[in-house]
Amino acid sequence: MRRAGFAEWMLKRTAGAERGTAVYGDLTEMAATRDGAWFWLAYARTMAVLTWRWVAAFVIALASMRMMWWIYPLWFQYQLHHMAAEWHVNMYFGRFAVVSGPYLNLISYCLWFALPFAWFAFGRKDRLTRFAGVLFLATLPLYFRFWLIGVSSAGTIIVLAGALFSSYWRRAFAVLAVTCAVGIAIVTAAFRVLAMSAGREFRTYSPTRGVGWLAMTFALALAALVCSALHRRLLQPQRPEGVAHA
Amino acid sequence: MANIVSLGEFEQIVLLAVLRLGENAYGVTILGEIAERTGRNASPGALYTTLHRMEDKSLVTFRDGSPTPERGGRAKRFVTVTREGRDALASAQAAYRSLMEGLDLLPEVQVARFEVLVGFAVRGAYA
Repeated sequence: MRRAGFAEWMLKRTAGAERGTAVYGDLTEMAATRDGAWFWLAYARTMAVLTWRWVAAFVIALASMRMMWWIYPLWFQYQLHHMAAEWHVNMYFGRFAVVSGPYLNLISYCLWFALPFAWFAFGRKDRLTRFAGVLFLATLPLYFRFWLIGVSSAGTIIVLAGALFSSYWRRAFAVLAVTCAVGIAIVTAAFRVLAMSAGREFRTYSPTRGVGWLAMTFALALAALVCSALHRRLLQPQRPEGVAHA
Repeated sequence: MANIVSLGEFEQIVLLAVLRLGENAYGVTILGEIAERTGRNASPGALYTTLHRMEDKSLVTFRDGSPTPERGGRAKRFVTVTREGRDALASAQAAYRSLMEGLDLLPEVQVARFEVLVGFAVRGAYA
């Protein structure tokens, strides 16, 4: 008999425990009347069908992140140019913007990846996609006028607080928060390790080039895997094992 | 009146295969029935993705069978079409029939087979 081991484990991780076991059982049963290579070809084809959407979502999210890195320097120059003039227009929003800006920037940074990933992996109507979309809209004014950073921060705080107190949105908030935390933690750790091993400054690594780009892609891939696993556990309906589902 | 769910082509094929197989509809037999009747070699992954999408729409339900040695001790997952699934299938097939009327696209014998298929789906929906 064929050793299941890793292949079945992968199928269960990809399709869910029940479905993975059933698909692997079907492949095993069908392979009994066919040659040995058939099983692995059918297995590869099945894995491709089950994972293509995730892979496409990841590539699109990566492209979105790349586009943001292209926009960011232009935006930063624009902000510096207008900051001084607008500071006088509204002192209160100016101060608030300076304090909240970096956090808002970090949230927005994560959403450039998380929103397209959720949209293509789980669909437009999914709870995580809708939550990430609303949060993205709240952070979007960040990219326009300096004084709007304060407005955007206030809007983002309201959305996050609303999600935290809502039983419907809390889980989507948790999935998004953990996904972003994993991505940030891994990329920070990877850059630190790279900097230490090469004896270079942490800040000299660019996420858009060379080994920095590889580290960032690896971190985002892990974050996307965590996001999928949490989404399956927290946001998809759980059905009892071994019974007919009405 | 309840909303009728619209079905894609492969969803209709899978539902018809499940109805034809009755109590013995699970991955291997469904794929075999589809291959035999349509000449289409779908992968188990595509089949289960479609079945689970239809389960989310309450068009089919699953029940686990007993583990068998030829499956390496893994249980079969049998599929049953629900009332909603039958309604959706009957509605989709009736729409096809309505659109086909008067077009004279199919040879006589194929029209007859098509009518039998539609009749089967519609009868199945109200069985």
